[in-house]
Amino acid sequence: MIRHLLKLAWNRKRANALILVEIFFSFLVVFAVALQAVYLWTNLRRPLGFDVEDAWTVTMEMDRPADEDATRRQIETFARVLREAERLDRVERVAGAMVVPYSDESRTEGLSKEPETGTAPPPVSVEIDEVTDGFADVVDLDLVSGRWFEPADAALAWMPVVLDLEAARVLFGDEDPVGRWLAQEPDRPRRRVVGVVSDFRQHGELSGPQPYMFERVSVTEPSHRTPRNLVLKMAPGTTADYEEAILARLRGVAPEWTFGVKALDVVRGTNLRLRVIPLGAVALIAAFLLAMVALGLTGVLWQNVVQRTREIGLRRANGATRTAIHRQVVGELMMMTTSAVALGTLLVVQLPILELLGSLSPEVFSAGLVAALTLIYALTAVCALYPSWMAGRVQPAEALRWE
Amino acid sequence: MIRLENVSKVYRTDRVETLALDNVNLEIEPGDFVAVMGPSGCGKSTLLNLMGLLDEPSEGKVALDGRAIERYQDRHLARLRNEKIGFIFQQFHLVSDLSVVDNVEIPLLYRRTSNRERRRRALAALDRVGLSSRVHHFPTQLSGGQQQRVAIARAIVGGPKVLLADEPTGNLDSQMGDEVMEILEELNEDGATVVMVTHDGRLAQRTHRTVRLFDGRQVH
Amino acid sequence: MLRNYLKIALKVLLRRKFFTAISLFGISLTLVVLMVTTALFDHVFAPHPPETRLDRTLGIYTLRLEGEGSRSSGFPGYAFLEQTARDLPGAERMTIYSLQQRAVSYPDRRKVLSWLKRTDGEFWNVLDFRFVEGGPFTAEDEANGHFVAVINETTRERFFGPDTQAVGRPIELDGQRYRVVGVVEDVPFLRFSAFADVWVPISTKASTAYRHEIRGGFQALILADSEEAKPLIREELQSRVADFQFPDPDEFQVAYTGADTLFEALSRMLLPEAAHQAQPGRLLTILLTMAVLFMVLPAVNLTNLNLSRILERTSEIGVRKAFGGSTRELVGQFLVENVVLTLLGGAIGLALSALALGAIEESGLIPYAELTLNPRIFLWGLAMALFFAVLSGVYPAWRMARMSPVRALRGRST
Repeated sequence: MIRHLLKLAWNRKRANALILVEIFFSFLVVFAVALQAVYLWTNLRRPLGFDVEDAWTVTMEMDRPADEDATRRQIETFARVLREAERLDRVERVAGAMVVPYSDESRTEGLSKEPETGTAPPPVSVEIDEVTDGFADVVDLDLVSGRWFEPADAALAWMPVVLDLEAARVLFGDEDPVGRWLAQEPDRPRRRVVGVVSDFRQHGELSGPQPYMFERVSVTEPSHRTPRNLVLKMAPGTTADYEEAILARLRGVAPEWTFGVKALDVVRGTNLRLRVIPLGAVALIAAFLLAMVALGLTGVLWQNVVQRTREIGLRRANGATRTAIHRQVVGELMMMTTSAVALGTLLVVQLPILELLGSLSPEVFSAGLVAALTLIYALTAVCALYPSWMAGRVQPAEALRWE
Repeated sequence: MIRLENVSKVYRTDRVETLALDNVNLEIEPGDFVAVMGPSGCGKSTLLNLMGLLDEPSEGKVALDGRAIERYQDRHLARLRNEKIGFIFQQFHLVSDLSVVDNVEIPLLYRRTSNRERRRRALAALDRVGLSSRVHHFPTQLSGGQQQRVAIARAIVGGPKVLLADEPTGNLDSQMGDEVMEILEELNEDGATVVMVTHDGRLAQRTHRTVRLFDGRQVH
Repeated sequence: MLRNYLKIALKVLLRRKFFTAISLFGISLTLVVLMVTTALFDHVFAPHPPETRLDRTLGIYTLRLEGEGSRSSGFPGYAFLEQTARDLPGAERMTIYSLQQRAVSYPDRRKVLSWLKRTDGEFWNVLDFRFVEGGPFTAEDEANGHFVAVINETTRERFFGPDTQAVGRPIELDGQRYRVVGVVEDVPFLRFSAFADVWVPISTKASTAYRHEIRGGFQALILADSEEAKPLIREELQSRVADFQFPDPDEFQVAYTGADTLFEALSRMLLPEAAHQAQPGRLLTILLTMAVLFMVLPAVNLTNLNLSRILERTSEIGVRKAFGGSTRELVGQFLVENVVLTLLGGAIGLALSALALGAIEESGLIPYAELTLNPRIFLWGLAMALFFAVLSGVYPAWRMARMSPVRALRGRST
């Protein structure tokens, strides 16, 4: 039976061309969306590396310092602001950070480990945040090995850094990074790894894996850039109106700065929305296209059935049951779908082969492919339902009576 | 083989009721070669449809091979048609997208036969009608007479006991018509019961007996 | 004659209800998408209060700076606009304003977020706001750094409750206290230049650094004397930009911007090749191409469905031709069917679009959206429906014309 249907479908290829093209293109569209969705979903399931429950952030806008004196004054003001924030009664812990979790900003650098011998390996892009000692506590970082920053580090001649697992993996492979040096970069102090935390994904639950590193900010060193944000761990149950109190207090300490307060939950919301909205828009367009294709497909199948009424009548006369006719209509369509998606699969498989998909893991790619295939088969099966039902209802006597 | 008892058939459309067959009684023995004649619109095709289980009578009973056909499900009717009946139509009704041998295989698709067995029987049937050299051609590449012979091969490939032919020579010239008639006679001699609708009197004469219909009723 | 065609057309369409239903669904869905997009487009670019004088308005919306090894794409700073946009020949008025930003307030222990825009006094003369209470602040207020504010109706309700007067009362935003001097009708979010919840003078900004910045979150609007004056303004601005003296010549050496329409500015922002010069023509081409591509799939499907409608009636067409029916009559009949079908689909699409736009308004995705189907959008919708009718009818009509009566009577359509 299958061979028979295959021969039939092959012989009718000209008539079937339109269906094939439409299925082919819808497969590509569905694949694009499915891949995105699977990617986001896999990301969602990975650990985040921090916790922003009851964490608020204070943004600080300050003029760019004109000279060294101004820079020193800025750091001193910052230290005062930090102390004042700690004194607030509903604030449990405070830290300063250049960039806060869920924010869109980032600073990246190409880093490599300092080799024992020979030249350094090629640099890898790592995201960096400059934070004060309190940061690990405020956002609940998960220390895996080594230690976090401590006040005594202020006396060190070099800058201590903490890597996350992803950064440790890409920079040091299987070796233990604690105690190792990073290759010297021009205009940067010598950096040494003192600890490793679990994977830190600053850009939120939907972002992909990203090597991350923390640099220590000293509140006494004037040569350092002033962190732009405070992260506060609030006492549980603090309501939004407390923000006013925080702002009033901090403005009192630094009246020439502009402060803003936001719960990190809110920042998270914005972050998620920003990532989901483009996908949502694309999915909407894809849904429209699929609806169009589904309509076109159903129409063409229906047209097919009408044109082949005599053939259906003939088969029924020769002993085909209604079910057999249903199966023929659906089966023919499934064959066409298979050829169309086979071609489509061949095409999309080129993407990872030609390395156009960068960091996408093969598991994500295959999952996306499987999802797309399932959807397209489901779609075409649904499109075949009504036409196949109509085909089954063809009365052989009438169908064969035509002149 | 086939028996019709007080069979009537009424067609109803939105506004019109047509009495196609009126109280027909007919009995056809195994091995019979029967011609059904009558003017256009007298119900000949309807009669054939009922005999071929393609339709149900509005009144009366139809029996095939000793078994009364009453309230049969679509599945059972389909199987009966597949096993016991072969159809031959005036317009041939070949599937133009399939080759000759694929067309002939069609009845065997709806049975459990292996690919190889199907192919063997189809080729045998084509050989029987003298078309072994055109096995892989397409219907559009054949003459009218050849197409009808393919249709006959398709009708006999399943080894049916009854052949129902609706004006089988209607679209053919007299020479091709004669060839087709000869094959039908041979098949009848080999044991098939043949019922043929025609309005060619000469052909009717070559059969065992003729049933005449006028306005849905039997006349003599 | 036409009535005859119409009667037959309706009969034909009702005969194959499933086909008709699918075609209608396809047309209406496509039209909904196209109409909603058109409505949004119209909403952004067409004149609409308070931007009522768009034919005379040009804006400096973007700024691109390039130097050796560094480039920056963003918005102009106050200093840049002061130096280049003041007193342009042919300009009746000019205003500088900041991009809207979030400001937080805590009235009665609640947290309220408002969009805050800082403007000069001329802002109210260039744009046409509708005041329901009080009036705007003036250039004098701005020069003296008065802490006054104009708020919209929604803000008035949020801070002071419904059905109250707000003029003269204080309002606190981002820790700064202002006195309300006027209340305006809500401005739709998509009117970017004008939009905000609260407008305050620029000089109330906490830090005065903005006065020296050539890059920053500001824009300028120029109201020309007349439409003819616009090219003059553009030219003069270009020459000023070309002669611009950078405070830090080491960082950047060249500036690119212009006195643009909103669409031109959009092209600068979206197209990499428009970094130096606005390419509105190119943007339009790209958008139209996308629209056309978008319509290809529905058009192809529709053509196919129409074709099958014709092929189904092959013998009927053969008969008509054999009895002397001219091709013109047959094609005319077919076109009427097509137009009826598409107009029907269009009507459904229109109704659905109204619903969709209403839903978008309700959802609050675009604050203060007023997405209504004005006559202009309706006509566009009609035009698109007819375009589809013609497009999807050409090929089937051609097939029908080519059918030979003899073959058609036999059931062969070619």
